[in-house]
Amino acid sequence: MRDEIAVASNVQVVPIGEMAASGSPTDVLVAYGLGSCVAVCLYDPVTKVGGMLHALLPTVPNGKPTSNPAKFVDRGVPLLLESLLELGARRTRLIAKMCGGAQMVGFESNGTLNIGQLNVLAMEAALKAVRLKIHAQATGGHSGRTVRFYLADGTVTVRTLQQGERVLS
Amino acid sequence: MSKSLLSWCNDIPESELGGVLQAAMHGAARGLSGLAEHSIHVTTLRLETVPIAQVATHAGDPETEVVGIYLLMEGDCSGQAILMLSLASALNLADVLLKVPPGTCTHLGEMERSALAEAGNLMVSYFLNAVATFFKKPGQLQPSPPTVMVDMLGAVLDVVTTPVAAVSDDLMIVEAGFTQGTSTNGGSDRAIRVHFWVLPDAAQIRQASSKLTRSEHTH
Repeated sequence: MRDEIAVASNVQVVPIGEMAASGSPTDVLVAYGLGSCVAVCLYDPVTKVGGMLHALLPTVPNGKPTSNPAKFVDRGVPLLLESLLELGARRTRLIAKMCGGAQMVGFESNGTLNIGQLNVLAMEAALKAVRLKIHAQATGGHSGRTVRFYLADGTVTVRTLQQGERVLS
Repeated sequence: MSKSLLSWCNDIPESELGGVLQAAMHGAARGLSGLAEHSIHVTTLRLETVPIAQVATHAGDPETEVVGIYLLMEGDCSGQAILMLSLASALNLADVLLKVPPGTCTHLGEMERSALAEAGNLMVSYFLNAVATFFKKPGQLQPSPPTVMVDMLGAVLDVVTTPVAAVSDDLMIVEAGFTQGTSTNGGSDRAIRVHFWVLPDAAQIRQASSKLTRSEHTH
């Protein structure tokens, strides 16, 4: 898929609990194997500035300071937005696409039962708080997802083992 | 050997922890060998501290399809345990566990998943029994019912990473590799390779971290 872009692309992996922002249209941001984690891709189609957050928890426990805000949806979204604005994006033009938040196991005793769903709800709330509308999403279910974000045109693809890769629209 | 992990089981003297974990992993191998009626050996045993961002790549290619057998450990030595196998290894192990000719299991249906879950349960039980014996608390450490996942490695590892991430940027892992049989079949397409991780729970990590901080300030 999208081989014509991949040939000239610069792939940047966005690991779990981290984020990346770029103003280079040849960049492709990739988050591999999202399970209960959630990723959001923000894109300004005019400046082609975009960024991805790969968070694994909805909120910072007890609102305490944290060494790595990108682990948490509530802290990571404002941080990503700030990075994009610094690179020349305009908030009013930003397109948001969200993926992940699967439920991989059903144990109730370790609090992971609804962590994927909680991540999705937290992402919706965090985006609403900074007045960003979600344009497309592939969330929930019980399958892992790989997300690719092409800064050339803002395309986001989602791959699962069962369904292969598709463009998120 | 990771200094942080040495603080995991606070009641185990540092000099004895390696031996306890070695005995526990060999116990897990014996448990699986008995169930499978095949000789299964511990090939590697490591104590690691891995940054959360590197967990998936530490284990392999995060997009690869793997089978994960996940259990919680409950009691005095609580935490998480996960067995990870390639799909091919899982099918080979299912053949062995179900006592059918090699190559019979071609997909993971209900029966195959149940057999793999039982293998996970047995390995973790043997591991915990060895630890409990050291603590002189036999029978007080129990695994939860296992869950079998078949998905991308990264997605499977989200399950063990998430509970720890709330309080730490690193995962502390007791990591062991298991292989079936001898070197003559170790590289064959019938090989069984199991990666077994044991992770202390988040509260113990926080306790260990604070002890380490105090220790670093003291010295």
